[in-house]
Amino acid sequence: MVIKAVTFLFALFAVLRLVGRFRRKQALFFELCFWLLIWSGIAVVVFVPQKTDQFAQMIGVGTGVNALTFIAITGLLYAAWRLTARVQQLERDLTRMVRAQALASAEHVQLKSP
Amino acid sequence: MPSLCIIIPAFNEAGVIAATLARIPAAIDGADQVVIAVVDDGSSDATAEIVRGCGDPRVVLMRHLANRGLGGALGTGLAYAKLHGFDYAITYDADGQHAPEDIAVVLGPLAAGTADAVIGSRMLSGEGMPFRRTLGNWGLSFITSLMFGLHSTDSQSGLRGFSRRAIEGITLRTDRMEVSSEFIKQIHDLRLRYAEVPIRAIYTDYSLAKGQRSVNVVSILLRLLVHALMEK
Repeated sequence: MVIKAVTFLFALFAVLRLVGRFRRKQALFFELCFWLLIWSGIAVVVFVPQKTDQFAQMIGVGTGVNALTFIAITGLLYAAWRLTARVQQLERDLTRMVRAQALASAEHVQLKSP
Repeated sequence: MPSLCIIIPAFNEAGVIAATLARIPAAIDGADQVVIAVVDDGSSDATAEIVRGCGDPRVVLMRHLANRGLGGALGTGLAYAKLHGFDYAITYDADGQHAPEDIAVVLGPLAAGTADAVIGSRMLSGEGMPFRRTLGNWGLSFITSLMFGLHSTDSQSGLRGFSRRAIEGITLRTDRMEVSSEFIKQIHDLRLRYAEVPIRAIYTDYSLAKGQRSVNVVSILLRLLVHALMEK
């Protein structure tokens, strides 16, 4: 019961923040739909856990918990890969900018007077 | 009238950079015009001020506003050499671990026209390298050769030389220590004529502390793996 209450409050908090961001035009409609779908899925898992078994049978992965673990690991690996690619691209862009600035402001050392 | 750009990447090297610059010979066999391009990689100490005050008119100082790592700094040095049409470029560590007379040794095959990329190998001479470092270096060179198809006895050497063809062709994609292995990949992919020459390593407590530690070997391998996967 405690887990259900905590999950419900956390999901409510996340959805309210998401709607707020969308209304302030800080999130796209696609993002709103995506995260609403994710939190709805979490709500189903917490409040109607037997539904996950039906889903597991549908995709052929034993029990509902196995199916969720499988999907969560796949999703997290994909997110980690995307984040790594994004960070690498940002690092390259930063290096390009730092390099351009360094080349443009190259200083020639003056001969030391005796 | 062959021109040579000596690229020195420097990050927080205030303690040694003046001595390193002062030891570079006034004349180098095989090059008529010499420019020493110091790339200060976002140092928080007085490295830039010391370079500025060294009084050697051959020195050009470039400053990175943020630390980008060894690969980032070497990339800037090579971009400078390319921009100004240098005939040769030589990378040279700031920590004083190279013998200045080895600059001419590395330049030799480039000036003779027998190679486009030369690596000064500390393993060929076998002088001065501590056992643990020899082991790490051997392991990295072995894995680098497996990954990139070109064997180098010292893939992690900081003393390398490039012809104009190599300067114009090489485009570095890695920013950190793994750049040494990336040079091997680029030499292989661009089909540059490759040579190795024996050089002497001068290890001091300072250069040992600044150089690659054993744990870095794992970090370099992981970074190389990530880059290889992302490039696919």
